[in-house]
Amino acid sequence: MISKLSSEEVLGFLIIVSLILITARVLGEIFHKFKQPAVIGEILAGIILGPTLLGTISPDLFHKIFTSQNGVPYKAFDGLAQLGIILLMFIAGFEVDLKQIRKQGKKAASISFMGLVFPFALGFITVWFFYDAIFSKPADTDLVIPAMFFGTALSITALSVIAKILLDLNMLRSRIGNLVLTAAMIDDFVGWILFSIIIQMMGKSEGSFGSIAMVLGFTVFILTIGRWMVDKLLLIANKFLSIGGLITLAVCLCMLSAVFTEYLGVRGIFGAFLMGVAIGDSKYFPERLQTILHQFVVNIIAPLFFASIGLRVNFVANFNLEVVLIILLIACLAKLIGAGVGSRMSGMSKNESYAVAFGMNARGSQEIVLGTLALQAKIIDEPIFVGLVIMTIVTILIAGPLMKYYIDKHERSIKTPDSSAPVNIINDQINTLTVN
Amino acid sequence: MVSKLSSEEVLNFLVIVSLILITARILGEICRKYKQSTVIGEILAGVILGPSLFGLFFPQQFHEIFLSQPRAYAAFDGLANMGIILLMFIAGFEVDLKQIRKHGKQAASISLMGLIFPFVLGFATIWFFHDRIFALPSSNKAIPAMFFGTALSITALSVIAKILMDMEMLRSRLGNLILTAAMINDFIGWILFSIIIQMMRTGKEGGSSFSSVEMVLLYTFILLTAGRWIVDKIFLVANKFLSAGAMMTLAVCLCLLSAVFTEYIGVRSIFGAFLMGVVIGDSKYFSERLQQILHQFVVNIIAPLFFASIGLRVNFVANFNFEIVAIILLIACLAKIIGSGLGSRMSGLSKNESYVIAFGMNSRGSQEIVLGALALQAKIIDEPVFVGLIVMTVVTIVMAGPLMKYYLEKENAEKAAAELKVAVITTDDHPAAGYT
Repeated sequence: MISKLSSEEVLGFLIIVSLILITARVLGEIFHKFKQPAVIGEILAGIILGPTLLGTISPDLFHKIFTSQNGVPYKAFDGLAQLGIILLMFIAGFEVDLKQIRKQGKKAASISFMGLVFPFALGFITVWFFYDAIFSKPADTDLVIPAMFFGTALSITALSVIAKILLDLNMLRSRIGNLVLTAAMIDDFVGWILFSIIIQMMGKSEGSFGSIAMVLGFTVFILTIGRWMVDKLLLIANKFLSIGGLITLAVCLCMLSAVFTEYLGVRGIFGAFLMGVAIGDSKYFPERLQTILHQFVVNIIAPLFFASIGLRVNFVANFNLEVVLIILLIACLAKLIGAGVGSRMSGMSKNESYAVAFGMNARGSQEIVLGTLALQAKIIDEPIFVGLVIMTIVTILIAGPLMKYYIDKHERSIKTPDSSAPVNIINDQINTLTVN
Repeated sequence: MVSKLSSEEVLNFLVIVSLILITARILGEICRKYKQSTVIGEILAGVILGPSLFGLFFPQQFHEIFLSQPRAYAAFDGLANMGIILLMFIAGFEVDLKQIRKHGKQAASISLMGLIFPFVLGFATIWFFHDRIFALPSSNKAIPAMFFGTALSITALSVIAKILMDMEMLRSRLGNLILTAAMINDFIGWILFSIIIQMMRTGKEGGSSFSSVEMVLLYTFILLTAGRWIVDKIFLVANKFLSAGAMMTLAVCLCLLSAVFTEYIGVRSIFGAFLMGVVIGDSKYFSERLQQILHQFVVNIIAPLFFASIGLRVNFVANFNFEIVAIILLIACLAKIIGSGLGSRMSGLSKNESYVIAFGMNSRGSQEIVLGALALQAKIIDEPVFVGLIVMTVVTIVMAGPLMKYYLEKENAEKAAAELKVAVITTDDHPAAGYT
């Protein structure tokens, strides 16, 4: 017979879900109130409920809730959390606008390329030469994988966080906003491919090259033939299916893609993200459906995943100031210089470049997902993970205010000589409208 | 450390979810195409993927997918449990307390007769013919007899609402009456069932069953009076301060809390979720749009997993006992049609109208199956009886629509004939707007 959950296990499961959901959302809402991304509050919820706080203050209670009954209720919860991050990456894929990438391609490419190469190189070099200062245990034979991971972790920009910040600053539709968003998209995209390659490399040593080829092949397939097929599928589905049917179809495609990539050895989230890009690109998947999925995933399921991050690690015991500082410093330096130089190269003013650089500097949920996977795969250890999470939070916190500061400065400097700025803005708005 | 799912378990979990979701939704969509309740297709998906068919023909693959990683299935089961909790929650939205108060008297007579008659008949059948239906003898006949009575008397609110919607008579007088009667029916049925669950649990442990029953009634009462008021005030305040997404989370959190509480006091969690749904649906500060978002996601993505999981549990072919199925079907239809029919006649409806109502009230639905699944789990009934209940549910749903239509047209024809006589004498301002 199939193994079901017993009544006690169901109760335990429900208690875990309720407790985490409520804490995560309350804290998320509080951060939201202070114009910060809710993600920070959600991670904090996990830290409070996890071994860091609850587990230290009241180990009995912690044990009773999370680890009793052979951990079965928590495993059931973990399944739900996994589904949460898969669906979140899926809807994050909707945000990627392939047309926009093609249009603003050149400028954005220079920003995102510099913002990728520089941090990657710096991260790679840091680990390559100063491995022992960061990692507590001595290196395995192979320094390439942690070095590559580090480079990738530093070079990824968080699309969703940036979109959120731009939205809060009311500049999502401005020229700079558009550019930052496009650059972040490219960044994100390349970053994920890099990361899936790393996961591949460390998974099975033999035949890893074939697997990388598979990943790249699958990416190309989804973005070309797959995209076309999905579009046609949704066109037909639009005629025959109800709204609910369309939603299910999208989720099913996402699941299939996730299962396939997971099966290939890359994580399921990558497949979900790619499918999100493909489906978001189809005009037969209306905005309304995206909103329904978005609301439910962002508000109910995804917070469970981010809270589960805090549950895994003891943030106090694994806090190493040196490691945290090194990571924070390198991350900010590399990204600011890289993205800043890229913006200058594409012909922006100094202040604009600063604004773009601080925008690109913000990391987000993707960073943390990456860190979690690396921790699980034992590429990194707990102190580094804690460092990555803190770095993410700090870069997010500084992004908004600093961007605002440099934008204001830029506007003040162009106000006197240049009166044609409003026209530019209007042009841009027309452009975005026609694109949409 | 909290115990996470391993990579293989996650993969297996995703495979299970995808496989079941896709099959269930495709079959559900097919049923919908033929104007049947999607629930039928979803259960069928479980039957196909479960031991009845897939397990019979491909035992090895079946084992690999569903049994090889018991934790993965447990995670799926947690998800399915979430599905039914959220489904009962949104089913609670449909209950309109004001409507119940308004149509109270007529509806009460229909629903009371439709409750008492099936309950007595079901109870008597088991009391006198227990050994004929159940394979194993039982020392305590009261509990299965009460269960059977309850199972026969519950009417499926959501299915009826769906059928009425398809027939475009949701807003007509008859439609309203049926809906209200079904609500009362549903409501009392669930309270009865939670009392049974209580009785048999405490019967095992030898505790004081009476106080638990009181607890349930007390909780119901408090939630529907003071709780309703408090929730309304909470949403009034929340509406001012929170975003739409946060409102939704608040609703889901309240639902989970109520579910955890009822599960904790020994009733199943779905009851608490249902009650909270009634209460929240009653508040005018919880907008239709939010209900829609929840509705779409739950009905299309999570709930199907639960109904498919029903089919996975039981081997429908091996446990099919024609005699039992026929007995259950016969008693169920007879009892409900006579009971509701008499009730309608008593409340002053015409013969044909009474038939319409009787067949409408006769259709069982998801609630019936949830009840059966719980009873099976609690070992009140055995597999053949469970299969009988499901077959009965499917048959009553399938026949409800066409027969209601038939009697409605007959009624309209007779009425038109009568009206023709009237129209000769008076001018054409007869209030028959509800039927046009």
